[in-house]
Amino acid sequence: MIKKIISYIFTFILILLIIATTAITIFNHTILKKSFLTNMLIKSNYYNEIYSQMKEHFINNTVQTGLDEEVLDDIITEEEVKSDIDSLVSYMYGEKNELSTSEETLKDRLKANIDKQIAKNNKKVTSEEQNAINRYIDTISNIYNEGIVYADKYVKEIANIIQKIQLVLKKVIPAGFIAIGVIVIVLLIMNKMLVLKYLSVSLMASGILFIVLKILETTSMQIHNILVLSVAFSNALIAIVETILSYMLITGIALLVIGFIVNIISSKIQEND
Amino acid sequence: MHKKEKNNTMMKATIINTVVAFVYVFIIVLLVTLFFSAPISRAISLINLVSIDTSKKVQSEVKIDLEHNTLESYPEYGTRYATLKIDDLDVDLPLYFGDKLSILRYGAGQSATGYFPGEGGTIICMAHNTNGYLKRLQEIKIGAKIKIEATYGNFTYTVYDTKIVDQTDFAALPIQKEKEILMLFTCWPINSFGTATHRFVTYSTLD
Repeated sequence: MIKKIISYIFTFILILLIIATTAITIFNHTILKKSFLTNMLIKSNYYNEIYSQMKEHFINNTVQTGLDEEVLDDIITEEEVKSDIDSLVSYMYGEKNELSTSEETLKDRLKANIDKQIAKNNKKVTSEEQNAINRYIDTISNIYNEGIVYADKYVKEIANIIQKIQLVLKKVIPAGFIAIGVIVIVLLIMNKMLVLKYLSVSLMASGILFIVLKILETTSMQIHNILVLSVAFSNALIAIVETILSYMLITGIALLVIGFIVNIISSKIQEND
Repeated sequence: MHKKEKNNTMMKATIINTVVAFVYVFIIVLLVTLFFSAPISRAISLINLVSIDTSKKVQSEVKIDLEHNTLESYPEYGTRYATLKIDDLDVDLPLYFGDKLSILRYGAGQSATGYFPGEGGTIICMAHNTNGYLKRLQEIKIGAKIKIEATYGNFTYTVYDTKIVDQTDFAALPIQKEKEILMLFTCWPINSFGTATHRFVTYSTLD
């Protein structure tokens, strides 16, 4: 009787270990991997949306200045925006030491376009107007920088967090699998004939819990309608969260099916005995 | 028969194991609910707080309660609800509720900090100082008429003063509800380049 109770307790711990190790492994292969984030940015059309969004903001800030929209021609390309975003992502995952954008290039091009337009209009610029033009150039370059980076401070914190978590998980994931192995061996020692039963119960329960998590997300949370910071950012965030949750659902179904197969095998072994 | 009994025993064992798995799921869900329901509810509320369900939006008609000088329902932020006209200056601009740059690109905007026409308080409107907007605003004379033709009524204002103020001088645009005053402004200097630091403001009272 005591042996049975201890076995059930170990099975409970095994379920928690399987869920934790599986979830952490999924995170390690998704959000903590640069290639995953880059794929999600492509999938959610992030690069194009940020570029379009920035162009809109540039125009909105140009209308009131008396300058023609032509001053914005070719100050930045979609490729340069993509390159800066990829650079930011590399920084977040520790592949780059410095955070930088094409801000200075943009400023130089904008200044050149403004000078060209002023010369075309044969207008003499007063010192006050020059100050106003400089303020406008600073505004446009701030819009660009913030559009790529959002906020330096938070990006640096996120980069620190990602790198720390990656270091910790290098030890945690193997430890999780070892712990699972140890518990299975303990159950095997306690009762050789029933170890498959306990394993099947653990796998099925873990699978069901992942499925329950997906049901909870579908019924209680409006993840697909999230709006944070900007539409582009929100679409990327939604794509990331929904992909991770779908991986968890697939894992849950796989655990349930494998658990059920082990269940049948265990029942057959028990029945033959 | 013996084989059938064996199969029945096997199926019974399989079902029992499956039920045991569900019992474990139930126990874990119960424990999580007991110990973590508060943080989980907070997390779900936070997620739902930042989500916007656009499918349920219904724009109701804007109506004015003339007895109490208030609107019964308000236009949605970012939508056009009126036309701003200054006949002396050939100004005929769509008027939107909201003052973001993305709104001002399409016409005149109205600040959310003031009141609406007909409510008896300060109305603050603005538009760019370029062609097609309020480029000629500095030519306006005392006594000129500014009209706001809203979806719920028409309102005419007479200009009594103009000022050039610093963009940070919020005292120049006081919010009050004793008298209906329209404050319409644009960036100043008008024919210059770059980001302006001053505003040309006109003050008008309701006729």
